[in-house]
Amino acid sequence: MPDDALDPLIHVPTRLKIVATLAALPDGDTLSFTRLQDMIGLTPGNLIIHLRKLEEADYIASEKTRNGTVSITNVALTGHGRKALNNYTHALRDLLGDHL
Amino acid sequence: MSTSAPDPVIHNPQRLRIVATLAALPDGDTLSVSRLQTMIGLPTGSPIIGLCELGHAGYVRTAITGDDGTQSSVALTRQGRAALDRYIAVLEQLPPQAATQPSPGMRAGDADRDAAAAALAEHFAQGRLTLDELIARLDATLTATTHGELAQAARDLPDLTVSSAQVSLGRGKRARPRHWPGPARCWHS
Repeated sequence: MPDDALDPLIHVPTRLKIVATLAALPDGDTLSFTRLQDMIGLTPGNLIIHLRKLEEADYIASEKTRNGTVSITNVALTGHGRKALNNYTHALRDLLGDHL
Repeated sequence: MSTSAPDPVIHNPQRLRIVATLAALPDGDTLSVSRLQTMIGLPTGSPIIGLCELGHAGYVRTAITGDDGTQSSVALTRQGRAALDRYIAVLEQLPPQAATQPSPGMRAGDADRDAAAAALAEHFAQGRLTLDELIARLDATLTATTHGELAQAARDLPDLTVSSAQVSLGRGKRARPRHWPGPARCWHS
């Protein structure tokens, strides 16, 4: 595949939606796991698997905070992930060109 | 994501490439399969598996042509074109990317300082700053080394720019990239 190949990690529809949702946050903002789950409409197990894949590639970062008995996981896009989405967006634009 | 999932038939990278290439043809034109293979970067003669699936979905139609019956040509159907339009509409529903602000500690360059100075001049022109304030802030701006210092000099002034750093899949004309093979030479039967 040439350099305009679509990043397979982002191209999977669910992950594209996760990454695009996180990219809509201003830099430095995070989203809680439950909020993200509501926004994307996935089961927790499903979302965890996709998040883990993105985290392994350093596209997202997650942080677990404990507040008494409740623990909250917050997720954010990394600079690396934002760059990857930009590349993906450009590759898609190149591909679809006039149609977008 | 039932309503807003991209069409899986088109979303596959190879099939997306095929559909985008065929959609660039004028209505009614067809492309020889070998030309299509070259255009999407596959060696001539390798079977285009994606064409079968697109054919099953009714998005493309292939026809055997040529005197010896060995040439096959392919075109997007009206259904395929509509599916691509729907596909793009789904992508456009994705939230636009937030503009990224450089962190305060990030080093500023000449272009950043010039842009900040030009913004101050514009605020002066619009009556938000007196001449003395402008001079003091220009001094601070032109000697600033970080984005934080630049922001400090403009702390109480409204943003003049309409976020131009946004990258989204929204509409907007882009020049064709250089590697794009260009509109295909039509293969006439």
